[in-house]
Amino acid sequence: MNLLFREALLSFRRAPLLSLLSITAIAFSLFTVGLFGLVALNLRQALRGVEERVEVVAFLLRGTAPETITLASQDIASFPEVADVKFVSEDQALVQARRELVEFKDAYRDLQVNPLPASLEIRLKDGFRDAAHVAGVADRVRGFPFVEDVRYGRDWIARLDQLRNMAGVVGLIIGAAFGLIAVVIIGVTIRLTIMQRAREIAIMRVVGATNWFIRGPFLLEGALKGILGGLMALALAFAAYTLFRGAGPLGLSSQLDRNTAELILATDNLAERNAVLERRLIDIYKRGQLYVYQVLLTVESFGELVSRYKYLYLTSQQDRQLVGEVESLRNRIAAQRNNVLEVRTQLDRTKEEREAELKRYGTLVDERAQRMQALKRSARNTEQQLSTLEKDAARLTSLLATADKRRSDETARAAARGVAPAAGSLTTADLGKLDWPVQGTIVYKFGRDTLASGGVIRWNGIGIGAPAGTLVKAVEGGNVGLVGNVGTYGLTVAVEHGNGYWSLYMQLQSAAVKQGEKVVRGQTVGTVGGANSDYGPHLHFEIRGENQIALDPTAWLRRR
Amino acid sequence: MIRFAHVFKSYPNGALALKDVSFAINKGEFVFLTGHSGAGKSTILKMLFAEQRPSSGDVRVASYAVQTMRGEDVPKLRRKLGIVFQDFRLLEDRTASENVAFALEVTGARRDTIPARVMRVLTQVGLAAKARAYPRELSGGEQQRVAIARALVNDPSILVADEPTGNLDERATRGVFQLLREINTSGTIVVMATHDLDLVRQTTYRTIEMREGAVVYDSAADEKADELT
Repeated sequence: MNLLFREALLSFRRAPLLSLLSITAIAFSLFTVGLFGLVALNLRQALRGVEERVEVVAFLLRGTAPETITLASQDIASFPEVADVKFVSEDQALVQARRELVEFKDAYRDLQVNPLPASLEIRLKDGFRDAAHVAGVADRVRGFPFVEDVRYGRDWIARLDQLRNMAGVVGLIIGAAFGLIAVVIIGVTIRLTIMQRAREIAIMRVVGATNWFIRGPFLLEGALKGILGGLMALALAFAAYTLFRGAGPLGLSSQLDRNTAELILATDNLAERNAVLERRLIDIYKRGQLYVYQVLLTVESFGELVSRYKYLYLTSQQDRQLVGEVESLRNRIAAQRNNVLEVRTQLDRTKEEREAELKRYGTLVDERAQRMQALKRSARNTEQQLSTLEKDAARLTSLLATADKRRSDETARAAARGVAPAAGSLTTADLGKLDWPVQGTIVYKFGRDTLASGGVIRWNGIGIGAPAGTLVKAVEGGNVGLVGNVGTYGLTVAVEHGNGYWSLYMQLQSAAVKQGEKVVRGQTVGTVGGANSDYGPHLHFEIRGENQIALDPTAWLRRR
Repeated sequence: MIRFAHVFKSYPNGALALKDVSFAINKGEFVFLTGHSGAGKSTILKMLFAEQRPSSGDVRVASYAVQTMRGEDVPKLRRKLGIVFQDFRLLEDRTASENVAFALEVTGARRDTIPARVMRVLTQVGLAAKARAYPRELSGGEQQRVAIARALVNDPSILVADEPTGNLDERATRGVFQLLREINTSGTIVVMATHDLDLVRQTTYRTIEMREGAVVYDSAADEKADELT
C-alpha cells in the first residue's frame, strides 16, 4: 500500500507540468459544471420569488373616491381567479417604493409631492397563474373607468414554467458534458503516463507483478488528480460565489457613484429634470422589482439577453445619474437662496418691504420656477458683488497711490528744505516676523479664490476670522494715511510705513486712530467688524509694497 | 519442469510460428535454443513465461499448463522464472540496486528484507561495487549482469535468456555465459536462445535447433538415439 502511494506520487514528481496541466484542465471543467450549478441554483431561487409575486396591479387615477375603490375591489375579489385584492394608497406606495427600490431610496425620500399613484394589487389563486388567466383578469380590470394602467407579466409568466424546466435539463446536460470532459481528460493524462512508462510496465509484467499492482498507482494517480482538480474547482467556484454575492443579482444595486459635480451655472433645466425624474420614478415604481426578470425572461436569444441586460444596466445608471443631478441642483439652489436672502435683509429694512419679502419668500419656497429666477438673480448678484469688490479694490489702490504721491512730494519738499527722509519702518527684513494684527483663523487666502456664490476673485489680502469687536493691532509703526469707508471692504485703516509700504486693516467695526496720527507697533487701530459679510466677522488685512502692489501677508506674518 | 507436447502456434494472419514442437527439459539442465531469426526460438521462450499461448498442444512450465492457465496466475508463474533479454531492459532512471530491488518491490516482498537480498545477488553477479551506478554508467556486460541479478533475485527455478549475449563483445559474452553456467550449477534450469554457434560448440550442453517453426535437431534425442543404438 505504501509502495502504491509512493509510485503514484512519483509520477507527479516525474511529470509535474503534465500533472499540473491535467489537474488544471480538470479543475476548469469541473468549475464550469459548478458554475452552471450555481447559476441554476440562483435562477431557481429567483424564479421562486417571482412566482410568489405573480399578480395584476391596477394603478388608479388620482382622486378616485374611496367608496368607488372599495366597491371595485369587492367586485374584483369576487372574480373566480382572484385570491385577494389589496389596496395600496399613495402614501403606502411611497413607503413601499422607498423600501423595495433601494437604489432610488434617496430620490423617493426627497420628493416634496408624492407622485406615485394608488393601486389595487390583485393576487391570483394557485391554479390561475398562467398567461391566459392573468391576461383575462387584467383585461376585465382595465374595464373600470378609474383604472389608469394595468401592469402584469405577459409572456414571461408562461416562460417561467418553460424556463424552470429548461434550466434543469440544460443544467443537467451541460453538467454531464463537462463531467465527461473531466473524465476524458483524466483518461488521456493517465494514458499519456502509461505510454511514457510503457518500458517500466513491460518490465513489471516480466518480473511477475500482478495486474492490480501495475494498475494501482495509475488509478491512484487518476484519483489524486481528480480530487485535486475537484478541490481547485471548488475553490474557484467559492471564489466566484463570494465575488458575485456582493454584487447582487444583476449588479444593479452597486454603490451609487456620487460625483460632487463642478458647479454649473446653467440650471435652467432643473424643472425639466425634475419632471423627467418624476416620470421615471413613477415608472420605476409601477414596474416594481420584477421588471428586471420580466425583461430578461422574455428574450428570444442569448444575444438579445445580453443587449437587454445592457439596456437595463444603462437605464438604471441613467436613472441614478438623474437623481444625482437633480439632487445637486437642488442643493445648489438652496445655497443660492440663502445668499439671496442675506443680501435682501441687508438692503430692505422697512416693514412693508419686509412683508413683501416674506410674501416672495413664501412663493419662492413653493415654486421651483421662481427659484430658478432667484438663481439667475443670484448669479447676476454674484457678478455685481465681484465687480463691486474689484471696483473697491481699484479705488483703494488709487487712494493709496494718491497718498504715496503726497508723501513723496512732501519728502521731496523736505529734502529741498534739507531734512533727511525718514527711513521706512517696514522692510523685507520683517518677512515672517510681524505679529498678527488679530488672532484667528484664515477664512480666505491671498490670491485667486472661488466665492461661495460661484464667482472667482483675486484677493489682495487675507481674511482673518475673529469675533466682532476684537482689537486690531498695527503690525508695525507708521503714519495713518487713511481712515474711511472703502465700499464693500467697509471701514478701512491704512498705515503707511515708508518706502511705499502700507498695511491695511479693513472690514473694521470701528477705528481707534485718525488720519495723520502716528502709530507704534502693536497699537490698536480699530476693532473687528464685517459680521454681515459672507465670511462672518473677520479682518481683511493687506500689505502693499511699492506702487501699491499687493503682497501676500502670510509671508510677512509670524508662522503659527 | 518444462514440457512441450505437440505444440502448434498460428497467428491470426495464418502464419504458422510453431509446428508440432515437442521436448521436455528436466531439473538442472542447461539448454541452448538455436536457429535463425524467425525460426520460432522467441515464440518458445514467450510461451515459457506465458506471454504467448499455444494454439494447440500442451505446454507445462513449473506445474502450470500455459494453454489453459488463468490470467491472474501468469504473475505467479513469472515469479518462479528469471527472464533476461538481449536489450537488458533496465530502468534508466534507477541505479543497479534499485533496478534489482524493483523486481522484489513489485512482487510484494517484505521491504526490510529487500536490501540484503539485492546485495546478495549483486555480489553473486560480481557487481556489488557498482550497486549505486546508473545503467548508463555501466558497460554492456555489466548491464546484462544487473539484468541477470534482477532475474535471480526471486530465486527462480528456471532462467529464460533470450540472446543474452547478442549485444555484447566477446569478452563480455564470455563473462555473462560463465555467470549463466554458474547459476545452472546451483540447480537452476537455464534456457538460452542464441545464434552464437561458437558458444554452443564450447560446451556439451543440450542444444535444440529450430527451423521454420519446427524442431530439427535436439541433442538429447540424439543421445537417446545413441543410447538406443
